[in-house]
Amino acid sequence: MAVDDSRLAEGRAPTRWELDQATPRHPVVLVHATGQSCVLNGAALDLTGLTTSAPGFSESGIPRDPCTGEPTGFVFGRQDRVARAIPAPDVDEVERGMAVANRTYLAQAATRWPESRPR
Amino acid sequence: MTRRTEAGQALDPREAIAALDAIEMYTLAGARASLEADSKGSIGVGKLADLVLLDRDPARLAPEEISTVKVLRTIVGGRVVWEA
Repeated sequence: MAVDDSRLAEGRAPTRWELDQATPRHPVVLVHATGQSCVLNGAALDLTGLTTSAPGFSESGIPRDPCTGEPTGFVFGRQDRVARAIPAPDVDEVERGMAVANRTYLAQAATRWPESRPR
Repeated sequence: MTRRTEAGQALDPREAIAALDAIEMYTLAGARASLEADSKGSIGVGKLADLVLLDRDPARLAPEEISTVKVLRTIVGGRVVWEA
C-alpha cells in the first residue's frame, strides 16, 4: 500500500508501534508514495530479520529508537531483507491484480500502459 | 494546464498549456515519439481505434474544471472494454 504522509492528518507516516496497535499479528509494510522508504510493523520486522538480535543489525543503518535501540520500523532506500520477506504472489494473485489494474486504467481512459516491474 | 500544486500554489503559470495542446501531446506527439503514428495517435482508416468517449469537451472547459470530466467509454482496438 502506498502512502503519502503529507496527505495524512498527522502529516507523517505511522510508526511501527502505531501499526502494531492496528495489526499486532499480521505483517504490514506501508510503502511511501515515492517508493523510496517504507514502515514495517513488528510482525513484518520479525519476518525480515531486522531485529536487534539479528547478526549485523547494528550495521544495517535502519533507524532505531534512541532510548530502547529497537527499530522504529522505518526503512529507507533499497533493503533486500524487506523484499525477500514478502512472499511472491502466485499466478492467481497476479491475474487478479492485473484484472483490477486493467479496470482501473480503462476507467480513467488509458488505452495502453507499460509494465516496468523488473524481473 | 492549471500549473497548481496539490497545495494550491501557482507553479510558474507561464508554463501552462492549452487543453488541445495537452491532448496532442498525449496522442499525436506520443505516437510520433514511439514511431507508431501510422497505427495510433489519430483517427483514420486502418488504425487501431483506441478511443475514449468523454462526457464533455475538455477544450471548452476552464482548466480547473477538466479534472471533473467523466469517462463514458473506453475502446481498445475497436472493442468497448469499459463503460460507465
